[in-house]
Amino acid sequence: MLVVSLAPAVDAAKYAADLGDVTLAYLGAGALLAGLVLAAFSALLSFWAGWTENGVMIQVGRRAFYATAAMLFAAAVVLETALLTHDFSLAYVTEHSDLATPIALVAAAFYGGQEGSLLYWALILGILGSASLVASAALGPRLAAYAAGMMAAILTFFLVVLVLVASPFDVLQITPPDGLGLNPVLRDGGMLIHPPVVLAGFASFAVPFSFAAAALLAGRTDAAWIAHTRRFALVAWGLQSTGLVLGMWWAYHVLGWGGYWGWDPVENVALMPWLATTAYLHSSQVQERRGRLRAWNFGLVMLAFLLVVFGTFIVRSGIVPSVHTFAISAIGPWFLGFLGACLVFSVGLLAFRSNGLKSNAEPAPAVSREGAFALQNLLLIGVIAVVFWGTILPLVSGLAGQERVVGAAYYERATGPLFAVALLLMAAGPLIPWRHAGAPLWRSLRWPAAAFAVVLVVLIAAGVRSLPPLLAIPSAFAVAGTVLYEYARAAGRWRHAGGGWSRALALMAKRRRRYGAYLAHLGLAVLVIGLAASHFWQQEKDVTLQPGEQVAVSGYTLTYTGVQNRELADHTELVAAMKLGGLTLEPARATYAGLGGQSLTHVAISSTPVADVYVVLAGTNSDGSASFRVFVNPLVTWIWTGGAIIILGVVLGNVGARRAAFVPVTARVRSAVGAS
Amino acid sequence: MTLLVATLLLFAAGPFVLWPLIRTPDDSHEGSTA
Repeated sequence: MLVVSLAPAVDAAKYAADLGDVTLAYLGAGALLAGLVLAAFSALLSFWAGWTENGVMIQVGRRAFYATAAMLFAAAVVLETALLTHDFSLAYVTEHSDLATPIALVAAAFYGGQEGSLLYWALILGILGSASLVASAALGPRLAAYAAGMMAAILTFFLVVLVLVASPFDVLQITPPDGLGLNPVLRDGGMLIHPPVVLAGFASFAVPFSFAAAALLAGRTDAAWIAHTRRFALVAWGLQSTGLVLGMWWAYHVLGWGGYWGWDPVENVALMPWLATTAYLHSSQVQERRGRLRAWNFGLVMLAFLLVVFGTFIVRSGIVPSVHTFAISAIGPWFLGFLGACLVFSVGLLAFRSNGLKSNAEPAPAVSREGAFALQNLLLIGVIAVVFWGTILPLVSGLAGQERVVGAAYYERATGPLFAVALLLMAAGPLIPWRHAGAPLWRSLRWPAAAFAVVLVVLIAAGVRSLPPLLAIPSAFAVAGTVLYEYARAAGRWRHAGGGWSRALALMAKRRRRYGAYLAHLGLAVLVIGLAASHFWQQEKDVTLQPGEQVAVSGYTLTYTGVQNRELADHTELVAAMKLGGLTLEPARATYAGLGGQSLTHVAISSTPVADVYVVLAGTNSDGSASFRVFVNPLVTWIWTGGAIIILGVVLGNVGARRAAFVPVTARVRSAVGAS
Repeated sequence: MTLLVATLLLFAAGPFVLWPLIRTPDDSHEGSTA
């Protein structure tokens, strides 16, 4: 009343408007605080109720988890509303958007900064965690309660950070008329798909981790947890695969250095959990089929999550130099503490349950499917070790006094042989029977061996003399040969059994997990061929041309025709025109005057299944000439196609698949549980 | 203000979270009627 009576009418209206802005911040911060209370409540109650097998309280704990997810969703809606309405009273909105940014990118600023991406991370865990709990009834209430407790504890940590250290709802004392805008590199269509997928991938590893830890806590070390965990490990693996390929695609199309993978710390920390989960998806079959590798499987799932937390710490603390710059912030020590707690908890839990993880099954011979999976696992762990030490070398050597950094050559030399053996194993593994190998093995191996030999001869005849491509490309064809042989063998067997092709396809659909996995293998083979060809046979040329002059690279002739200036909404572009046959390529340099004159290169790419012609405008000169860097990258489209086939294999192999039947182990459960 | 909003949201979430307790018949009441 006092305010209204003393202030003029116009100021009262402004006061109301300001209050409206600030209300959005209070709503968001309030939702996060309520989420924190609910998550902590859910964690404590779920552990206690699981321990005492109190069915009603297990349900209350689970519902508190769902409510936490709802609060995170509400906070996300508030933040998105603040961004879309340009509410610059919020520091986050001011720092990551402005009035000139296209609206889709303003919406994407939700996960474009530190605080918003943490909220997105927590939201995805809330949603996937809720889905996993809804689907967990068959696991028995105790295990599901512990899993809810684990996920709620992880969410509690994230919400503590979001509320106390890195809130996206901090209010500025003075509301500026416009924001600072999104980093120009992020002003791209790729921003709409790559970060949300890769962040969702990161968040999703917490679900299999929580179920593995819950199974250990509940003493359920049989294979029942595997079937449930595998499903969510596949979700995480699928998301991470998509995120990695999209990241490569984006780097290739936006950064303008002609490549797609630079062994940057951020790429490395996304690759490591993917490798650990790839190992788990294979070794888990050994436990399902043969009851072996129990401790190993638990260890792999936990390792994947620990690597995710480690990666998040590395990327967000800013302690290791990277092209993916999150502002250096105060959350580093929090994530280091969380990493330490997760590590101690995981190792302690595995040690505590180690007696129950011993296998009674008889050992398998080395040449068997089990042996192949074990070797593949060791190779992937080897790759993880190489990447891990390369990533933290600056940190470790910095502590020792002199900071050292390793480049791509280290990673390629160290991981190359490991990947090569893994690839050969991938060609042979699916044909090696469980338990033992014998004469049928050698007969069926002739197909991948023939594919390898034919491609090797063709490459040698074409003049290739370098060992790495002579190993990688024939191996990838051998993998494809194995997959096609398996499909042909299955189709032939079922067709001859009666019913024709439609029956064969129906039977293949029934065993979709197996044949979906083979499709993913085929996709990886295609991807590897693309990686190898574009890496080993890339051609590059730096030229300065006058209008009308030509340059030829690897048989492709480009003619420079001139340069022009274009004014766009938030930046200006200097666009060069290059004729390639009937096509005009337009490499450009964009300058953002509103961002202190930051400039950015826009690559021009002509893609065919054979090769990409990739042109970067390096600069223009006063005499009308322009400097270019021209790359010819063979078979790059195979990488994106291979990635798409992998995802298709994961989806076709698992969507609509029937759930495995579980044998309930905990009999002492109150009837109220599972009634809802 | 944030505290007030959080309290209101928790209050609103109450019936959903506590529903299993609300729905489950009171043990002592059941005992007396048995």
